[in-house]
This record gives sequence, structure tokens and C-alpha cells, in this order.
Amino acid sequence: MSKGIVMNCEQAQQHFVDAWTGSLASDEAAALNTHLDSCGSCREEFDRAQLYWNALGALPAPEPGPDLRTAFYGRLSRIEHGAGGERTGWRWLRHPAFQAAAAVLLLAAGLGLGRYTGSREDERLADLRKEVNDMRQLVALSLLQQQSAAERLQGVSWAYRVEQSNSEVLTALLHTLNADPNVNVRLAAVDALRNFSVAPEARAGLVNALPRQNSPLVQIAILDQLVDLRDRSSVPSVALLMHEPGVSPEVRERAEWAVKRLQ
Amino acid sequence: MISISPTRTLPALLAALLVAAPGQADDPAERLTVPLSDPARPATVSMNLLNGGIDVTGSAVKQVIVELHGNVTSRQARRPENTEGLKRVDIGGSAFGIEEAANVVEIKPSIFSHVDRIGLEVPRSTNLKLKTLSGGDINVSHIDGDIEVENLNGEVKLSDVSGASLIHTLNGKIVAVFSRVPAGKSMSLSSLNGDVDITLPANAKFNVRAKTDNGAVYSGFEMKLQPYRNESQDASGGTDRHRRRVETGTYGTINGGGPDLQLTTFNGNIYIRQAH
Repeated sequence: MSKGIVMNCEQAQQHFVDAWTGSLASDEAAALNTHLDSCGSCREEFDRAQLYWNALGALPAPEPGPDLRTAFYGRLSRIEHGAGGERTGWRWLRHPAFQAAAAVLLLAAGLGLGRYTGSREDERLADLRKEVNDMRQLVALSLLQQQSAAERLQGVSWAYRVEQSNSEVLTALLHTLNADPNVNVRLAAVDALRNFSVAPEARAGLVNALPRQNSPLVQIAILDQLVDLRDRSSVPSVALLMHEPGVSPEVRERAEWAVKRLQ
Repeated sequence: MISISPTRTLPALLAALLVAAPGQADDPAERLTVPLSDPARPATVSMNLLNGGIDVTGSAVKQVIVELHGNVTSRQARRPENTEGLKRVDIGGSAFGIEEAANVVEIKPSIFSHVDRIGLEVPRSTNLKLKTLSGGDINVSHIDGDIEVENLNGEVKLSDVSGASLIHTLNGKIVAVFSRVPAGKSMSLSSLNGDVDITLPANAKFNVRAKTDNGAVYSGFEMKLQPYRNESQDASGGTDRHRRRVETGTYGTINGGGPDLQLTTFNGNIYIRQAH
């Protein structure tokens, strides 16, 4: 290719996947970057889709049934149509590399592709709901393991959207609460665990995490959560925290308050 | 936010430009330029300080420029007398270790150095991971990459930023002005004792969760409040009818809702401002 190629939106989008896989020639990469720098909507699409593309790498390969694709999109469209917002120019989706990853099928649903049209009511809505839930689980679990805190926070957001019965996501959230190096991600995990509060493991997990936290803010969030859940069984642990040496005054005060509210 | 990656075999090291500066108060004691492996792609800069403040500015540069302010001379850096006519060629004298590999720049100060502030000039698209423990503010401006900041005692100020931001400071306040918001990305700003003050573009869409225990929440956006998700369950249970206040915070949407925006403080106020 000659030097100084100029890309339009459509051409740029055809190069997305190649850019992520690093298979662009340097002049193509430069042209793509130039385009992305000047075109807000392509940049947005590129960044967002790249997030999922990167998340893909961490996904276990699911095993789709033979007609999953057709069935899925057909049913998806009836749900998403009108709600998902129209997206145009997803041309790179047809890239073979992209199609090869069966997981994309599920992920694409998350991108809100509303362009496939359908018409009739579907009786297998429950199946679809399960598929969507599985997809959310995959996305949540893979994002929770990312290097970037921003992506892990995104994973916690996805965790809100899985069904309460989903124990894998619950386990991952509890792990995040205890082990994530970023305070903000742990804070969000406390909030997301509220979604699972019917599960005894979730409440126990919150209580167990209390003394292990080094952030007063996270400890306070857990205490407030326990009060909101009116989890009286946590009183002994909370009382213990009050007398723990090295606990910040704010936490001590909040723990006292929590014990009073819970008793 | 542990920013030190465990092992790094062969750090593409710092073809650093070392310029000794005259001893004026505002001039940096050291200035280093770190080239990037692939300037076309966004870089990530990670810095973990024990003390001192951090200023980061995004600009049209293609590399990362590091300026150290303060008395950064470590013993290693002191120049012996018998070196006339010689040029120091190693970088062991720097008060800092700087490594660059695959566009990730890690800046690790020597614990023996006394740095007041570190100034960084980076490409706008750079992702930042910044942490300081004592006595310094962290200021970030003109950055479009993701921003991860952890401060213990100082303030955090963001201006003209547009990336997914996760900001935490224990005792300082947070002031964040977003010129755009990252599409579809969640953000979280939190402080124990300081105010959390965020300014967003008028068209920003978020699901907001704001929580302060001893302060108040103010919004310049029309905020549609949502009930606590367990509320119906509580109401039907009826065991605790006087309990109206929800301890886990205020939930609401701005401009119809979008990704999560979590704003948390214990003793401070929360301000959600609309840019004009």
C-alpha cells in the first residue's frame, strides 16, 4: 500500500480485528489511528468492542449447539429490538477470526445489536433468558480477572446482572472483596453482593471479610450492608471488630452503631 | 493497587536522556525521557510513591517525560571529584528506576530519595496507575486513558479527563472534571474523610450510587431516584417499619441511566455538577 492511506469509517471498521491481533501493516495501523483520532464514534466503537475482544481471550470456549446462532439472534432481536438502539457498520463482525470465536455470539448480545429484525412472539423465552444469563456470567467472570482495575470494576457491574442463584459469580465477587488490590473495586463488590443477599454464603462472606479489610471505607460499607440486611447473626463478629486493635475510629464508631441497630 | 509487576526479564531500558538542571527552585532536579515501544498505541504509566505528590499532564508528546522535583540526590547520584572529563553512562545515579516494556512504563523511586513532586508529561491516551502514601496531592489533567489513583493523605484532582476513573483517597478530597465520559464504562470515586466533587458533561448517562454517612449529596443533574432494591421485600416483611433510611446509599439515574457511577465518602459531602 502506498504511504499516507486515508480510511473512511467503513474501512476503519474492517481493520478493527486486525488491529487487535496485531496483524496490521504499519501504514494501515497509522491510517487507522489517524481515523480513530478524528472520528469520535469509531473510536468509541473501537474501544468498546476491544474491551470485549480482550475479554474473549480469557473465556473458556463454550460449546454452542448447531443452530444456536440462528436461533439466538432470532430470539434476541425480538427482545432487544427497540430497546438496544440501532448500531450500524459492524462490518468487522464478519471477519473470519471474529466468527471463529463462538463466544462472540454470546458477547455480541451484550453489545446490544438491535439490527436483526424479527416479528413473532417466542415461547422459548426462558431458554433465551438462561443464555443471556450465561453470557453475563462469562463476561463478569472474565472481566473480574483482568489486570486493569477499570475492567474489574466493569466485571462487578456485570455481576449485578446475573441471577441471584449464580454461585460462580458469587464466589468470584467474594474473592474480589477479599483479594482485589483496588479499594474502589472492593467497594463495588460489597454493593454487588447485596444482589446475592438471599444466599447465606453471601452474608457469611461479608462477615468474614470484615476483619480482613485494610480499607475503613470498605469495612463501613460492609457494616452498612449488614445493617440493611438486618443480619443479626453478624452481631458477634461486628462486636469483635469493635475491640480489634488497629481499627480506625470511624470503623469502630460505625461498628458500635451497627451492633445497636442489629440487636 | 499494587503496581509492581513481579518479574521482568529484560526491561527495555531507558535510553534515557539525563539533563542536569540548574538549581532553581522550580526547575526539576532530574528530567528523563522514556521512549515507548509503540508510540502509536496507548501507554500505561504506573507509579508507586512512598512520599511526594504527582502531577500528570497529557499532551501531544510521543514519549513519557518524567521530572523529579526536590532533593533527589541519592548517595549513588553524587558525583565524585575525580570524574572530570568523564561522562556518566549508566543510569544508576538516578533516584529512580524506570522501566519500559511493551508500552508499560513503571516508575519506582528509590526509598532513599526525597522527592517533593514528580511531574509527568505523557500522550493523552495514556492509562495511569498512580499511588502515593504520604503528604502529596495527585493532579491529572488532559488525559483520555483510564485513571487509577490511590492516595492516602492528599487530594486528588482530575481536570479535562475522559477515561474510566477509579479514584480513592483516605483523607483528602476528590475534585474531578470530566470533559467527556467513557462510553459504557463504570467509574468509582471514594474518600473516607474528604468531599467527592465530580463535574460531568450535561449529556452524561449514569446509574449513580452516592453514599455519605455524615455528609449530604448535592446534584446539578435531574436525578431520578430509585428505590432500594430490597425495599419491597422489607415493606412486606414489616418487621422494622420505622426504618426508612437505607444505609447503603442513594440510588438514582441521570439522563436515563447508563454505566455505574459510584461516589462514596464517610465524612464528606458529594457534589455531582453539570458542566456548562
